[in-house]
Amino acid sequence: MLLAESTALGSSIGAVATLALFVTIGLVFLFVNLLVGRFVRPHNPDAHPEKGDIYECGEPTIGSSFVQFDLRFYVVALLFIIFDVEVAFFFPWATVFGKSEQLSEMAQVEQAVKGNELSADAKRLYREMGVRDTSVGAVSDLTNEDVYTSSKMLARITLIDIGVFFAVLILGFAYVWKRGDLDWVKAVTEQRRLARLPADE
Amino acid sequence: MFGLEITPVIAAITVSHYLIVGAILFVIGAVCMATKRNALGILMGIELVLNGANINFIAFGSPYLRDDNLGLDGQLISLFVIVLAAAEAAVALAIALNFYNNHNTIDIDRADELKG
Amino acid sequence: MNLQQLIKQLANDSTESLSWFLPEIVLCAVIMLLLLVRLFDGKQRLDLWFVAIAGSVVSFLFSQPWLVCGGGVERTEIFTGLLVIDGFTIAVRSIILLFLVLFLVFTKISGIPDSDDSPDIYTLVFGATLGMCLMVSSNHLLMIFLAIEMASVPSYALAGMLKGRKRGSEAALKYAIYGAGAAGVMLYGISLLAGLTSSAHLPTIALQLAENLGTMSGSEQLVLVLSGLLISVGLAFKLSAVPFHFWAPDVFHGSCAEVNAFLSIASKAAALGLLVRIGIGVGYVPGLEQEVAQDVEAGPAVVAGLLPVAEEAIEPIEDSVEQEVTVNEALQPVRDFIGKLIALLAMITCTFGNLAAYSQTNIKRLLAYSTIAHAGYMMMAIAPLMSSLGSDYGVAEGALSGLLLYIVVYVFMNLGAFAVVAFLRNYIASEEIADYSGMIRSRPYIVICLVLALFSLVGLPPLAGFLGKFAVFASIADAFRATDATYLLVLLLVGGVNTALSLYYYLRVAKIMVMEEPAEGVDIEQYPKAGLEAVYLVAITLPTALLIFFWNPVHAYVVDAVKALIS
Repeated sequence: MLLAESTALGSSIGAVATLALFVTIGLVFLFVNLLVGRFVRPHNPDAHPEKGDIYECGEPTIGSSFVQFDLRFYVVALLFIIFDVEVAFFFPWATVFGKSEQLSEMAQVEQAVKGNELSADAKRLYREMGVRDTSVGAVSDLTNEDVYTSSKMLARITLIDIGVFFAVLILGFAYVWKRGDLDWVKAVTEQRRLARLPADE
Repeated sequence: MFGLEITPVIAAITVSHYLIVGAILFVIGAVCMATKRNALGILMGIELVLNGANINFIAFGSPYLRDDNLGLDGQLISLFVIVLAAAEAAVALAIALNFYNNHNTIDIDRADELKG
Repeated sequence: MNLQQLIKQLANDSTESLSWFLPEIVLCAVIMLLLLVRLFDGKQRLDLWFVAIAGSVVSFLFSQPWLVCGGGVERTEIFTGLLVIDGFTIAVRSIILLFLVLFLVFTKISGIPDSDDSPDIYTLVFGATLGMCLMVSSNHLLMIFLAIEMASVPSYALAGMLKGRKRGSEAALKYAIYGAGAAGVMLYGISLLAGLTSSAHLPTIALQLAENLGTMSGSEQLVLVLSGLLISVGLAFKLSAVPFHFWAPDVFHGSCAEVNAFLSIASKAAALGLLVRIGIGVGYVPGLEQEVAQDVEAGPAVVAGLLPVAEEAIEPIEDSVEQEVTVNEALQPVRDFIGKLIALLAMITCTFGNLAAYSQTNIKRLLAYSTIAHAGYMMMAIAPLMSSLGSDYGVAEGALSGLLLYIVVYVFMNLGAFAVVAFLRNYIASEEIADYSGMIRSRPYIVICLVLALFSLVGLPPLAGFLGKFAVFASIADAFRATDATYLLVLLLVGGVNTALSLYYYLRVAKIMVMEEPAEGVDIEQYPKAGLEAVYLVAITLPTALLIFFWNPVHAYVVDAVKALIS
């Protein structure tokens, strides 16, 4: 490649130039299209007053847009945030689980260890799992069998872990459901009931 | 892999650059917490502070920025902080909603019934 | 260290750790059980209180407080160093869980969570208790933050648990906003500390500091001090120490007395435990020889367990064995900084709490300021601990056992005071001190219990509060004799003056209840007869009154608890 052959300074200038080129082309492309549209489209707002609306098509707008949202939106949004973000814990788990499964498959077909030494692919997997020192270390007679059992064990442990985590999550979800916090219609009747209460007394 | 052929453009960014971004977020968040009167505004400030700390953790944990790094601990802590921040925000928002139902405002300066 | 060894180690470590982690697991199980019962018991025929009390008793038994007796428990790091178990952890955890049992009985008698709310409220209480148990055993910066949040977030909701109460919602909003802010600031401080030492494991941080403290540049030292101050913001908030105390009176006033008792006792005990954990964790490397012997085999703590930080961390430890004195001596500046900072905060907190309590007319606000003042007294015990940790282990152990004794005593006397407030609220629907006037005629047993609790809070002999205060002050005096540091003398004087200051406002409440005439129109006969309340109050007050006779076993217990912690 051109970048690799040039000097350090040259490569940095080259990289900046590439970036700048992309940005410029992107901007030019955007504005040229907008400009073309401006020249091509007809322009007579007086003939069609609905052109001035925020949403030209669909329902006509009623009243100000600064109205209060229904409270029920907030409840659903709050619950969504919680369950949505918990999924973040699945990412590190998925990485480790996937890699260890891959490693065990590799060991099963006798590709993980070659001549008392980890193969290049196995080393890559080790590194991606976070093991920095991939040398065999203290174990002198490393076999595919060892790698297979240990990676299977890791996969099994992590599967149990995530199972427990997910069960707790589901339990929370079931509780919320049972309480009727996800129940849109019930919330309406509940509100009506609450609104009627003071008048009854 | 990723770290092997570092071009100078990438190498020029060090931990301190990330720390500056983190510090700016922290200061904006702290100012936001101190000056806003709206409870939601204060919560946004808190989120900024947490994210400033998160950027620090990620920068300290990256093996490409420093040899002597925090390792996976940094990423792990920031992951937990993201989740905790969401949980905390959800609880705080629910409490703010409860306050609004009782007081018809979320202005924290109007929360002045308890004094002494 | 390769993957095979790491995985085997991880599996072994997890199974071994779980046996120490049983109380927390029981708490988690109870939380899920509470939700499950509610899920399948639609008509709520089952009173969930019984599930909760059974769970708390089992959890307390699993915390195995008797393990401490006779020699203490070896310091054990569990879950790859995230948590640490030793006598101090077990003792404070048992105190918190014992308080949970007493607290659940208290809520049943005073009847605050109705059957509709009880699963929610007990879930929150158990969640907060779980966080507090983690606080006293945390050994890693992640766990510190996680535990504080786990204890705080349910507390925010608890503060506003009475639906439709204007004051409750205001208290909860203030608590949540300030608490979240303090936690954010603390997290930033944690990130700076972790970055500066390239570790999040407290003993490793201490080793790094010992190694690098001498060669640090000025700006690095500045960042270190800054991170210490930022972390202290979060801790001071949990402890309600001045200048981060302002939430306490408002929250205590706005939420009900039951929640106040929980926040004022369990939360304070856990926060003090965490303070000790951080102080010892960062300022001292315990049991260096044993640590090396074990860690070469086991590898020191690494979160995720997959990083070979083990190799990197072993070297400094091996160095430090040859010059064991120097490592813990090199940390003297760190300890001095922590000790002096806490001493300063303790003095201001204590004085402010006592002075502000004077003008209070609401009993819950008065007890809030009293809580602030007592947080100050208990923080005072940390100063002699930090000042003599590296030089004189006897004094350090004395300070720590004094703190533990104070916490034990504080549980009973403060719970007694809040229980009386809650029961009186059920009778007369008021929490103003003025409405308590002449109460002795209608409800003598309640008044006697409250007066005993208040006298104990002052620290008058022969009540239990005196013993706690005496132990703390004696350890400060010992540390002053050992180190000759002037600030310890100042601390001792401030503590003494404060005790005298606090006498007046506690006695004022007692005087109003005993000496003054009852308010007009209050019919003595209208109060219901004493029932379970009386039994409960007597059970809570008896330890306060009679501890002086059982002083020796309790003292021996707390001394045993801290024995293996430092040495």
